[in-house]
Amino acid sequence: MQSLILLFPLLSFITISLFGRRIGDFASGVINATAGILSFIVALISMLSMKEPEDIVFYKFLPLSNTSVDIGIYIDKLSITTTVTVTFVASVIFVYAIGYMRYLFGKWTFKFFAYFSLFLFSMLLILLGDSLILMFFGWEGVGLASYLLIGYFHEEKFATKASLEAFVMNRIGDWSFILGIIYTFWLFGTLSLPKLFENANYVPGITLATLLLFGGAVGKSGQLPLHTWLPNAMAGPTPVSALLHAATMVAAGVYMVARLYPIFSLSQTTLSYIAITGVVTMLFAALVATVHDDIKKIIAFSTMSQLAIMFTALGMGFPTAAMFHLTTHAFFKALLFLAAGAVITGLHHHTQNIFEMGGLKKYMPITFSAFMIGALALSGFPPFAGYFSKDAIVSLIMDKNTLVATLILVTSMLTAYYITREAFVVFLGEGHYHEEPHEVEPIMSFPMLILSFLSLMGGFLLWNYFSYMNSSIEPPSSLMAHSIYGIIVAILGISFSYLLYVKKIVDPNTLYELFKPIHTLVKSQFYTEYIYHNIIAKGYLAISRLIYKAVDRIIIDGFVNGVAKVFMILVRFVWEFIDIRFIDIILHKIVMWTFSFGRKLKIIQSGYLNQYIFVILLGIVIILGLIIKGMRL
Amino acid sequence: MDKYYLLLGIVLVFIGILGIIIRKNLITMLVATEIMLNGVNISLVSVSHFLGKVDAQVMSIIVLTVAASEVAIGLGLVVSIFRLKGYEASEEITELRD
Amino acid sequence: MELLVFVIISAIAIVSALGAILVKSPIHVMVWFLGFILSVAASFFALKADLLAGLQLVIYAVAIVVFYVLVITTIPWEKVKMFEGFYKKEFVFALPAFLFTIGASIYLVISSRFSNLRQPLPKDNVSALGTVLFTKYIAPFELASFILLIAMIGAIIFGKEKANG
Repeated sequence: MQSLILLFPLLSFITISLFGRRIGDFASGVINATAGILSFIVALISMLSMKEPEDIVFYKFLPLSNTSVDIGIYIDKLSITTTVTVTFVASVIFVYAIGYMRYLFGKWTFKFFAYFSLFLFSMLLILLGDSLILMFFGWEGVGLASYLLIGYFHEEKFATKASLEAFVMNRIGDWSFILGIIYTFWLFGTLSLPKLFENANYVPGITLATLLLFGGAVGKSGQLPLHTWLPNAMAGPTPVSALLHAATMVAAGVYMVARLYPIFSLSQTTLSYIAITGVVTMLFAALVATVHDDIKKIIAFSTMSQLAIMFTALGMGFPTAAMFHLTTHAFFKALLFLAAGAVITGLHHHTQNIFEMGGLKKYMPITFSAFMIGALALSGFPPFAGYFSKDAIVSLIMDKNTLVATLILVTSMLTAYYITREAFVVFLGEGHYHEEPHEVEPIMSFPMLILSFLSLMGGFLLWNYFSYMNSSIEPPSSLMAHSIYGIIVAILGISFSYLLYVKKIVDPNTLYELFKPIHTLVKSQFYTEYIYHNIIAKGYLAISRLIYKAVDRIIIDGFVNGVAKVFMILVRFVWEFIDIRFIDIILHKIVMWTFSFGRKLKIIQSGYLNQYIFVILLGIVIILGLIIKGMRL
Repeated sequence: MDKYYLLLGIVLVFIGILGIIIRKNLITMLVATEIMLNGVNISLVSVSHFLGKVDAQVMSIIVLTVAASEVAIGLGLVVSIFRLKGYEASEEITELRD
Repeated sequence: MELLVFVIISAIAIVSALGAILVKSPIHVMVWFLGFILSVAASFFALKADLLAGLQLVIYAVAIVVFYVLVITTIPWEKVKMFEGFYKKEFVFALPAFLFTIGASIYLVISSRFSNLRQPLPKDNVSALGTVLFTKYIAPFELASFILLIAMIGAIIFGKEKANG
């Protein structure tokens, strides 16, 4: 029965791919959404009826000498809860996507829904797969779906470049990931998750293996240094940004570390490294988000930052807290993206720059409230969901390492600042529009309402979640011990942006002129994007071109042409000396001899009857001679 | 005695062959053919005389008949050639068609 | 006695045959040919083949010789004159072969032994021949008549063609 979770999106993908053209775009969207909802229902039933972690094996894929690689599903608390979250958010976004892509219906939009189904199937493979091989299959699958979906507007050069950049950076991470898988297999002799958990004991070399595995998570989740693709991935349609790059795909990295935590926890070095990566990235992303002005890019940077917080929690040794933050983050980040998409749709895709918007509150009230709820949840303002999950992390870390917890609080302040900055600039104030923006249709606002509700109420599941997961390191009692700091920090951030952008106590433009060099530095992501694009990528291309010119053209082509010239000279020599002198003459002589011989023979065939009789007489002579010779006398 | 008649027949046959080889005119070539046939007849009759049976003479009669019909046809052909070509020499009639 | 008869007959036959093949004009060839035929008939008589001798005389000496002479005379004299005589070159080449074969045949026949199946000749040649011809060899007889028919048809066709064109 659990296999149905995987089966519905797969069937949806196949059906839409094969028949999408015939059944139309709207029907494809409905099939897509239905598959998501059915998967969610089955996942929910599985979660409620699950007793023990079970490993359901479908098929013995690769029987080896003392182990075997199987295809199957591994259901335990972690995987099933994450599956429930993912399928729920996916279904909500699928429904939203039908409304969002409506303006493109008739232009083969069924492809979009097919890619979406493919994505959901691959994501579920990552979550539910019972071996590292299946997880890797899903890993690659979501990478592929991400490439297809980011580059969906394939006629725009920027989108195609962004999708390629996403895929290549993912690939670099995947390279590290597969080396990690190989090394893990080498160390433990098995790739099956239950068996790995059984054999999880310290062996030398495990640090390297786990570091390599974490490299995959870095690529997939957009952490430093493989991060420049995430903001550029906003070139895809908004449902894609909502599902992939907020709630699910980028969360796969976090999930992977949490899933393999029994192995990661064996190496303190790796965990420290994960925490360092998390801390650096979260500060970096939060700083950059404060100066961008694209409505989706700000939210993308916030995703990067929040994922970094989750990685920090993992690095500090609190996987359950990280996973809970992942769940709530899925809700409110998806909500933020959906609201941003509603804004874009409402403005008829005119612009995505927040400074060209303003005062949308009176045109799009539902969207406004949805966005505010999401923003407050992200800031960690009580009693929204983000408050509970983020402060659980802060509290748990504060007891262990005060510096890291403080840095998280700094990040939270910056987060509150930039997200409310975006909310105030877009929705409050005055705006000038050519066409009047309108509220979005119910098919898009209803999902937003669902997610708003969850962002509001989801936090209260904190204690249920922790007791369900029954983790020993994280006692439920200490979860909200230091939550007061979170509240203070959030209020600071919100009020700072309120003063700056609503009350306008200081003119933002003078501030801009004052801090311009810092602004440029931060906005370009500390020049990482410039370095990656122009120095590394372009430099590599330049070197390739140089090698092509030098080696290919000059050396190889020159060699081949030289061989051809020498060959021609040889042929000419052979022709002159051998061909003409000997062979032609010999052939000519043979022909002449044949002709003269034939002429001589022609005399016999004269046509004279007398001669023929003469020859007969000669024959008689010969025969008589033979008879006489053969006679016995 | 019969031996000698047989020998006579054989010699006449060879004389006939020689005649065919050397004669120019088609009609005289046919005459040489007749000489050959007569030589064969003599040989057959001598054999019949030796054996005391008349079976060889029956064969001889058949040969005679065939010789007669052959003459008729042959001479008819020669006349046709003459009509066609205007002459009847074997050295000119060397090709099957002009 | 018999030997004398044989020598005379064979001498005439050979000389006539040689004359027939060596003389220049076709008409002279016919004369020698006629002599040859008569000597052959004589040899038939000497070999006690009466019917055959008579047939030979009738068919050859009368029909065939007349036929030859008829055809020769249909051709204008000038054309005949062009192709008289015999080829000297071929004669020279063929003579050795010819002599060799004559010598070989003489040798073969003289040194051979006949079988002893000898039986006495029948008294009346004609009736014996007739009996055998019409009983034992009826088939060749009919076929011979068939050949004559074919020849006749051929001759008629020759005649027709000439008439038409």
